Amino acid sequence: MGIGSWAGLWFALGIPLILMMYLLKRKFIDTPVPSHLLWRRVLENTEANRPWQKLRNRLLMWLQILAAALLAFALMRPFLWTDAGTGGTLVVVADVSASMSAIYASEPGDSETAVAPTRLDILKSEILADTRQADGDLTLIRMGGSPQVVASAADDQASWNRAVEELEPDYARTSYREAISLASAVAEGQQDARIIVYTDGQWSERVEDLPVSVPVEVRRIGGERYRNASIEQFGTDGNRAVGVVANTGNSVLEVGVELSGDGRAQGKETLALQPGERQTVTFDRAEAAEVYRLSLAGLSDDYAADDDAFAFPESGGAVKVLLLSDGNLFLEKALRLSGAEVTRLDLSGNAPTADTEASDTEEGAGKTESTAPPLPEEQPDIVVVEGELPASLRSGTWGQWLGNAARWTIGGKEEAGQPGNRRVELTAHPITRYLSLTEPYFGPLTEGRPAGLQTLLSIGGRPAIAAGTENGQRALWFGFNLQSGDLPLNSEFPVLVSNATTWLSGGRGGGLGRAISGAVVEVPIATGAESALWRPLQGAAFEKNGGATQAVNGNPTSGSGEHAGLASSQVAPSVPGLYAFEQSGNGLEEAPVYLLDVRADASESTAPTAENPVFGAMAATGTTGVSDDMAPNTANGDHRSRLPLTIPLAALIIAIMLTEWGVYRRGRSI
Amino acid sequence: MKPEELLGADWIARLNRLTLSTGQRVRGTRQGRRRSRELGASLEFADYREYSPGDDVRRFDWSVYGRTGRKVVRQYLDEQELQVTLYMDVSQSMAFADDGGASKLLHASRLAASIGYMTLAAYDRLGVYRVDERIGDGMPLLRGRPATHRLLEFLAASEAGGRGDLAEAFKDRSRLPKLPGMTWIFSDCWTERGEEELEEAVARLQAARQEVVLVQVLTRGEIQPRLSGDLKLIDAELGTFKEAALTGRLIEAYEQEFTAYRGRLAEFCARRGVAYVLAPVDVPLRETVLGTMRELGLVR
Repeated sequence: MGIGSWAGLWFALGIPLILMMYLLKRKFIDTPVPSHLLWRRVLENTEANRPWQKLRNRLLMWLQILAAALLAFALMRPFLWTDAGTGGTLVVVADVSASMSAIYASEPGDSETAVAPTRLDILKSEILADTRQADGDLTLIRMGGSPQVVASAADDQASWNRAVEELEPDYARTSYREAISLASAVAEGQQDARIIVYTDGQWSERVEDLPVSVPVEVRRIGGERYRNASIEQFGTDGNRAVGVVANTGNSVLEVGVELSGDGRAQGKETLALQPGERQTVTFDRAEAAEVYRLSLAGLSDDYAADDDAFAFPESGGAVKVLLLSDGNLFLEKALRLSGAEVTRLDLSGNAPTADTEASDTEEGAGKTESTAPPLPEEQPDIVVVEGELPASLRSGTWGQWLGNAARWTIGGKEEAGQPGNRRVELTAHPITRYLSLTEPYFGPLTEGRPAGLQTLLSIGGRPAIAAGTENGQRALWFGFNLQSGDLPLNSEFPVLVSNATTWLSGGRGGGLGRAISGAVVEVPIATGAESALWRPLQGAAFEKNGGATQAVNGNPTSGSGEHAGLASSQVAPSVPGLYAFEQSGNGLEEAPVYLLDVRADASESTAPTAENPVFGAMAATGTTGVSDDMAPNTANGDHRSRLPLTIPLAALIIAIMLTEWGVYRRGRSI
Repeated sequence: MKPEELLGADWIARLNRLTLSTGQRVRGTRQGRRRSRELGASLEFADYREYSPGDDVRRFDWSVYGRTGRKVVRQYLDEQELQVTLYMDVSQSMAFADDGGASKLLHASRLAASIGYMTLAAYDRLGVYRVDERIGDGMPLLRGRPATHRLLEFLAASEAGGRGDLAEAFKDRSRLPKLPGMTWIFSDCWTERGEEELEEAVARLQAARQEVVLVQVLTRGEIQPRLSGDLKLIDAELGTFKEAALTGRLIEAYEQEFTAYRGRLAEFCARRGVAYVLAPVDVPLRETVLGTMRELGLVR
């Protein structure tokens, strides 16, 4: 038995009020009697003249007081604790936050066993056990990244069981408030509704001020002991890798921290961590690798989602273009328009003018054709050569260096024989997409068309633009000098350059950085990409699902199927790990691949709080007593629900009032 | 109260066949119809006695003298009148009546008239007095049937009022009957001190060689009160009051107390050889006289 609202007790003041009214009612009717002889004796015996004497044996008054007391009691909203599953709508809120994937270790040594159940497994079995007897409507709300009604009013036990069994941990930032609000909204207006929250108590949001109109019960899952080490930060800087490892559990841990680059182990360190302590590990002389992975090895902690972290050079930004030219403002501007980072090296021997700091080192270094200029600090993605490549750059380190980049050769020495007509024929290619190129005058064609390149544009039957692969790198050749024609003045020129830059830099992606699972990440979408998918490469996602890919939703704003593009804002995969964002589309053979390190919400790594979440509606209506009451009950695993007594009390009051009426009609004081 | 209300004609016819009965032989002053303790001139034979000169020769028994030669005279019992005194309580409390019923005074007057008529019809001597705090005015000497009218007028003229105090009233010996006889007290027995006071009064009458009959006249409301609610109970004679919330339990307690009171009255009456008659107002006269009083041997 409990009380819903102690405020109703104030109405009990009506009882002394009624007593006062009866006491103060001193209205005696003059009645002559022949003698006092017997009355005196009787009154002396019974003391009927005392003030409270008249309160005795007044059935009407006692009935009134009883009615008033019951009224006050009913206003206190009393309820009986009954076993769960006695009718009414039951809203089950299942906490599927990342911390629920932790191993349920109620006793030391449990986590060492091979197949330790996770908290989520315990949660499922508890929900199923609690709702087996339920005869009312059941609603299952999944408290994950976004609250979701998984099963609603499912009277079918089989589908309910299936819905419960299909619960999976959600590594996104859990929206606890939203879930409770949703549960409250679902329970609102339902008969005898109540909410049961199954959780491990590890809440990152406070819900005290949340108005909840129905009784909320919290069932705690998880033991006292919590062993967990978490990689809080990890990053690489050239050849140095730095990570921060913290012990978020409540027992001392010895952690082996392992660094691997592209799958090859590169170093290992062992740390001893006190509860709450965090330490920094530094690995110097890390071998160059595309992706570094820092993992906690040789440790079986309860919560595995934060045991891995990935780092990769963040090269997802602009494409770096080295422009070897005598100076072509149109080309330079067009390259910059396409988003490239242009470094110009003046082939005429002047100092290179560059718009990056990196190229400042070459300042003042006078060059002749015989001496090669010093190498720029950063390896370019694309080398644009306008005119002929100087001989000094063809060999040696420059030659090797330039061989690693895609090359775009423009113009050269003019050819002797020019085509008879100027009819332009275009071949479909990513470079010629959106272009017709019929208007501009290209000028005289040049010689030196490299073999093995596919002709994209021919003028009068002679190749003018060709593209292909040369020495394993993409190569683009323009068989005309830009200065000779009016192509740079044409409106199609920036598009052409942009296409060229995109194609030449194709296949080279970059790092998208780190994201919390379920969060929105900005992905550079390749032009023409029609579909994309997240491919797990390493980490929990890869190990768990065996590399199953996760499709990416199309852009909802582009309706038609033919041009269904992709939104640049994409939702990160739900399972933590290292992912590659792969795009595909018609004519998009090799779109850039981007890497993303998906992590679980960091707040889920912390140890569960000692007390259960408190729900605010009680505080708001001044009935904190209930939640205080509830806490020990739920802690004991006391599976009870409330049965309000207001209606039986109201019926009782009506019965009493009818009795009063009967007594009044009979006109007896008793 | 009119005199004719007190005795109806058919009731008088009934009373003519009744006589008062006393437990003892009376000793009056005049010839009457009551068997006396004295030997006298009645027709009832008592004994023989040796003749001595001077005896009335009319009583000489010649038959005995003829048979045996002994000179004896017959002796007869004397018959004398009975002195009956009626005391009528006329205190204020006697004015009470049940709803729509006769007052206690009227009922008591009817009873007194009946007893008085029987007395007069038997040629006994009757005295009637009103009593409140003291013995008031009265008719000291009534005799013979013709005095009935005076008796009734006297009774009808009584009015209730003032305090009553029987013990105090009977202290005055000069107003008590001089001769032994029968005394009837008609009262509701509501006194200030209760049974103690009544016993005192009865004792004084017994000291005056009276055979006492105590007739308690009560209304039904006094035996079983039908009061409820918060009442200010005002004593009609004393003027004092008591406030009480009358509940069923209190009424019950009163009834118990009344039974106890009546029991104590009956107890001391029995102890003293006094006849005690309870005559509620709602019990008809005929029933009281022919029933209760005949059972007690007061009326034949």
